[in-house]
Amino acid sequence: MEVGDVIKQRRSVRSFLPKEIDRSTLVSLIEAGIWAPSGSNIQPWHFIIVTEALQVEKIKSFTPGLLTLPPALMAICTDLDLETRRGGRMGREVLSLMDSALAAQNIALTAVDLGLATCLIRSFNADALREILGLPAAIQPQLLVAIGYPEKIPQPPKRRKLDEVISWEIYGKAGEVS
Amino acid sequence: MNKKMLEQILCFLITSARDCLDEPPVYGPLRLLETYSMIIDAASEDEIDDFFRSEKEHGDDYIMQSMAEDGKIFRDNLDRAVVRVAKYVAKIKE
Repeated sequence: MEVGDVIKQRRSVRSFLPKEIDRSTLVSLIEAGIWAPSGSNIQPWHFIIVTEALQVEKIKSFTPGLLTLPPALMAICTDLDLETRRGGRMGREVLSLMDSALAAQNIALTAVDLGLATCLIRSFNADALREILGLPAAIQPQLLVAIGYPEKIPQPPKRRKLDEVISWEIYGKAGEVS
Repeated sequence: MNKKMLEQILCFLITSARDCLDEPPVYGPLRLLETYSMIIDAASEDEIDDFFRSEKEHGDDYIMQSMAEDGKIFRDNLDRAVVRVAKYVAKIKE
């Protein structure tokens, strides 16, 4: 698929078919994730792939943003010690979330290309996930990705108009957008 | 679960959903804690583990009270409550 088409076809999908995703496919999503840029090239991420039904249920118990039980969940975590050591305060407080989001977008777009769908979720309790996933203190869960073959693909929400979101040279200065 | 109590909980939830739009923000968590207690009370013996019955006592003791005194204490107590429940869930084998 063309990149532009993949970007426009990506949706936040919340209803999935009860169809297993094979491991090599899940790994290929992570491979896309690790090719995201990261601040100072720290590559702070650690991905936990969850496919066991009971473990998915346990995570769902502490994730109000997860409305169904997907075939797979991916916890995108960052190593805060690594971020702090190499990225300082900015690494720990800002870059760790940005880097997770960049990896997540690569994963979401690659999923579309492979016929899968995703939903990125931030409404979870990090302390609870730490217990469920057995995370060491320095490994912080930043984003969850629900993954599966889509049952229903929602219509895209309207996008704000380009001339509303673009300024030329300084904020508020309009210009041609077409 | 008793039908009447279940319906009371549903009424409480839909009313709270609407009323919380106009009420102080902390009422949202408070209503959720109320519902948590109501469900524990409504559940029969075999529907819920003793862990949650003991959690309710915990909550009655200091979560509700601390909410009125200091936002930080309320938040810290809720952090501890979530971790207790997560530790319980993490041990579940089936």
